[in-house]
Amino acid sequence: MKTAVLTALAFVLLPSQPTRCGDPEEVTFGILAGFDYEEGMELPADVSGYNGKQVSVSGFMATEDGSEGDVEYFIIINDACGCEGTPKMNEMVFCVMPSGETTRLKDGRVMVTGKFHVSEEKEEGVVVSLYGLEVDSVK
Amino acid sequence: MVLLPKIPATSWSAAGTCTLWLVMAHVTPCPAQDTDWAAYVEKAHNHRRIMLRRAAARKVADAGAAAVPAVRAFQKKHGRDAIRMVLVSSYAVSKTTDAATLGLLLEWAGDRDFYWRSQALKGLANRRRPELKKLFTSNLQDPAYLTRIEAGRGLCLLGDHSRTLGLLADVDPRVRLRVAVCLVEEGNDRGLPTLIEALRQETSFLDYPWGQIGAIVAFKTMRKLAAQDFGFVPGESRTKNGDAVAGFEKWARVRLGKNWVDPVQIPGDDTSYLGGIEIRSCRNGDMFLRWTADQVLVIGLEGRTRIQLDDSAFSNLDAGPQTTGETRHGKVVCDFLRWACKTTGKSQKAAPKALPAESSKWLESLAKALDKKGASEFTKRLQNRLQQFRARRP
Repeated sequence: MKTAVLTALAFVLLPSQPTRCGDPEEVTFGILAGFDYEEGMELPADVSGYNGKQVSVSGFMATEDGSEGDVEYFIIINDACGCEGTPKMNEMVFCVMPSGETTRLKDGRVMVTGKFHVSEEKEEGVVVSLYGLEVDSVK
Repeated sequence: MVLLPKIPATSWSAAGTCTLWLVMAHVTPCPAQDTDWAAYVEKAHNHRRIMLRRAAARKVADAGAAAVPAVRAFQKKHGRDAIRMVLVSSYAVSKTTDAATLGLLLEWAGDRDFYWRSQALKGLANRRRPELKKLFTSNLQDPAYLTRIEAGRGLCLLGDHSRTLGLLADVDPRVRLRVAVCLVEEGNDRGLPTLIEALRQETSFLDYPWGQIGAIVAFKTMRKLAAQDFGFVPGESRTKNGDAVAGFEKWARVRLGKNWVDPVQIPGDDTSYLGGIEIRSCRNGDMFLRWTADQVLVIGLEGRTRIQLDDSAFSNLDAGPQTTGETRHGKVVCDFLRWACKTTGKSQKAAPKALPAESSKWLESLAKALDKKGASEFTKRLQNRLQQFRARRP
């Protein structure tokens, strides 16, 4: 799983700039999820503008496969209860911990800081993620 | 490669027939009955990647009757609780109307213990079947807010707006909002005032930003309808979005004219809370409780019910339960109970049948204290919920 996420992120990261540069900008789900996403669409400028930037995102931690405990990757969503349906593509941020590091899934809202990536990543011809984040810290 | 025979240019009809035959014979993929639907159902449940699970689930749902036996076989083997929400929500948005799919959705929607009952009801609502009117009507008072939403949507999509309009006064602001969205999308502007009210929201319960989530939903609907955004920035504060909301409201008032009816107002909330308890349940509905330094217990998402606690009940509540340090208990599928205390800095989240004994005891004593205060209806509800979450004795 981690390999898949890292591979996907690697394509985005290759031409990118050094990770840490200045204070992170806070990006909200209001912006990230504030439009109806469709595959291949041109994303709103206020969303794509965050690509490659150092950001902080606030939300709830979860894993794609329901695993718990110490994790190397996780997703951030805006509501802890997934009762209303699987989150939409632009309602999830796929986060990857630095190589060799893990974090414990926390209850309640957390603030995740790191380098943000906006890109449709595909597996088996299906878009599997839109927002990615290389994690620097989880608070 | 298949070599197509040369066909005279004058014989277009024959060419069409022949080409169609060749396509059918050589290019068409395997007939539906040869598709391994069991494998897709398995993938929809067990693939490690969430979006690939969703893609497989959509394929299963879109196949209609052909894939239903595989879904039933999975359900028989693993139990209904093993059915993932992604599969049911895929059926909810698919367009299939065959009897086998409808039968499956009806079965799920009729099972009060099924986690994803509301999603099944959503699937039935989206299919606009007049014969289901009675089913939707019977669910309008369901304790689970999601079920009430889909019951209301079901009637709304069938054109029965009179009963749907009643839900614009529901106790839960999330119901009012979703029903208003449906009404407006179906051309009934009487949902507009509720959407305007929702645009103003930024309130949270503990850290659940229900106000902001609702504002985003309202904004998307209003932007589509008004074909402009009035400068509204989703996620931005009420103050910063004030002019934009005023713009939307002016536009909506002009559109509604004398038919404007003030919506249920969502009370603003700048109270500082010392802690809270939330019980989220797809089956039984949600419960929200918070307490303040003034020893007031505030009940409900909007905090409309307030009970003054006596010293002893308050100090017991604010001290929280004696915990072992472990914050997560059991595997949460949908339903969970979570509490957080600012004073102690402790919190806990538990799945059904996994709430530790000391936390159960703490909540039971709260229920008793409320009973003493005469809030017996609320005490009963809290005690019922505890039955669901209390850990089984070894």
